[in-house]
Amino acid sequence: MAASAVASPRVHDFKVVLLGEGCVGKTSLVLRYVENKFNEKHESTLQASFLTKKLTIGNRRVNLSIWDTAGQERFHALGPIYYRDSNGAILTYDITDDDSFQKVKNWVKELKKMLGTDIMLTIIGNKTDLEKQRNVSVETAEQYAESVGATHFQTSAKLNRGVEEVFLDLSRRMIEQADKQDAEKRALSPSSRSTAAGNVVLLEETPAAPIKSGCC
Amino acid sequence: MINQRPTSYLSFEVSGYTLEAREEEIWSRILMGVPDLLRIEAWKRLLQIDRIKGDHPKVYEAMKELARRQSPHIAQIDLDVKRTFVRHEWFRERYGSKQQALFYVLAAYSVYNPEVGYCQGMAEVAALLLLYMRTEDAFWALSALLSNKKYAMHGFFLPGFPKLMRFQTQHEAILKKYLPKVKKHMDKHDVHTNLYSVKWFFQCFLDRVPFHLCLRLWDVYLYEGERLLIAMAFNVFRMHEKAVLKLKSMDDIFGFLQRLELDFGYPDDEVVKRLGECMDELRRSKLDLPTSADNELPTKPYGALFGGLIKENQELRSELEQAKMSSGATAKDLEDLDEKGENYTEQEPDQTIKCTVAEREMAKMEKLVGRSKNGEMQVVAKVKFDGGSGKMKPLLVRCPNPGCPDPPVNSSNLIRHLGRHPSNGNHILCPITKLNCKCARPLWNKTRAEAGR
Repeated sequence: MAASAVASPRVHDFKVVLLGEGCVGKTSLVLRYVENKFNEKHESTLQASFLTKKLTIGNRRVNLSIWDTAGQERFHALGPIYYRDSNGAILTYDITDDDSFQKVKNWVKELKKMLGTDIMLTIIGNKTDLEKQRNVSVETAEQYAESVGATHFQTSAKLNRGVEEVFLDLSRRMIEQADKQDAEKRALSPSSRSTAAGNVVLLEETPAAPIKSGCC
Repeated sequence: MINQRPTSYLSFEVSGYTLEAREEEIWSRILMGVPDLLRIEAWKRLLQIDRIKGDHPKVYEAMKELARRQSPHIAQIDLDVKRTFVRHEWFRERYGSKQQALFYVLAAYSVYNPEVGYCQGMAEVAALLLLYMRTEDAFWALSALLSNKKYAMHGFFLPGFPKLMRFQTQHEAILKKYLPKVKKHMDKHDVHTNLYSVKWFFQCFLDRVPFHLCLRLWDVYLYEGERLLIAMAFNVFRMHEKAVLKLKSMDDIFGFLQRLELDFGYPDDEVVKRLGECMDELRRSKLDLPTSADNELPTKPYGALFGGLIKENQELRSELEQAKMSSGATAKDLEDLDEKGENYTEQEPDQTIKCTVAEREMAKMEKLVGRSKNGEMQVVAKVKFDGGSGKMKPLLVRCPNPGCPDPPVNSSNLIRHLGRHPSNGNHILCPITKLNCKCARPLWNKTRAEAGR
């Protein structure tokens, strides 16, 4: 499926993982995005959970499975199980808590080391509703994000500010990345196209002709 | 029948030590489920709390005091206390008596057993204990669960989670042997054991199966110890083998396992009966427990900080401060931590804990209502807090039975409503709460300011 028909409307299945220190608002972000809900008193996440969301961007259909993880430092050890095979990662910090921003840096280092450039990174400063208590400046965060090739957003899950954009932007970049990888694959093994079954027809000229003549 | 059970039941522990025949009977009674009013006593005895408490007079108080000054885990505990069992009425109020109790149990334990300190997941376990026990008892119960060899949760919560890995490996081996199709299926769809089993093992299925079933599992767990975890993990897949094999993607499988919390799909009695069979079978094939491991029980003396408390108090404090300074924290952070502790100043009222099934199940029901996903139960109108009369306007909910034509009802009437609704042949109990309609007690009239937001 992966190697076929870029021009046709195509469904992408992307896995996105949310990482970040405890209590920065990871669960709230997902709940706001997927169910448009905010609950000040949800339970802390221990067992990673996941929610799915379907969206359409241009002519592409995207199925996101969003993994929400536990934040306590100790659970860092379980991280690899959740981020391996992820297409995107959302690294969240709390704008009122500089420590949580430092944690984001650790995650970025780890993800870069383990997954290289295959994974799209988005850094989020959450809780902009607490602007008065801000401890991480926008410039610092943006500069850092740029330096590691990530995009940076500021959100408030509570007030529903900027949440939608985060996932939209990330989805776009994951699509680009998927296209790029497809193109690379095709460039590497042009012969594999003809062997791919079924829905290859759209782009292939040679096999298309005989079929046409056959049915007329 | 329940009225007859108590006397013989209460004597079980004593006779359990000496009489083989008695032991048999206890086992069958545990499998039948401990009557809820006896759980307080039964759990306390199974965990031998009175004995432990008698052996360690005043330790809890000392730990509590020490924790407020010196526990490095206060910030995390404070974060988690407000996020634990929040849908339960008892734990809802910020800095309310149950939140205080939970805070103190966890804080005190974090200095009592410094190797584990505090790990997420312990809060739920402690909160469950606090439904049945007073604060100090809950502290010793938590301590027993972590350090008694029978349960040895210490190894689960230890950094690196050594016991979790061991149990997961064992679980996989059992699946491979007894349910090879399921194992293959899970592998094919990349459903790593870790994705679903953390809460199974860390919290003995708390939050992963319906609460009423979970209590039954805890009965068995406290009696049988850690082999319950392995057996139940096996039982879940054995009972749901067909359903799992039908699911064609990781998302579906994972979603299915997540939804078991709302409805396990079998009556509790049957689940526990089949669990007993699993335990027997695993025991026969000697797969009931993973190979034992060293280093999973506490090695440092308990309350290591406790030894020369008064003398060293000052010293430790300054040491800790230095450690924090060097790790980038400021004096202000320390003050903040102290403040967090200060919020929990009021001692809990010395209430006698009486918790009926109805109250807890209503709380659970509330939880379901709050969640309202999977189409299980629809929230039609949100609760509104009416400041004038100090009463809650009711939540309107639909019957979770998808075929039910009835209009939404006041949630406090839901159980009664469900009782009337034959969802299961002639079964006139509520399918979720397993309660007879007569048990339904409206909890919604009580004032809860924060829920009104």
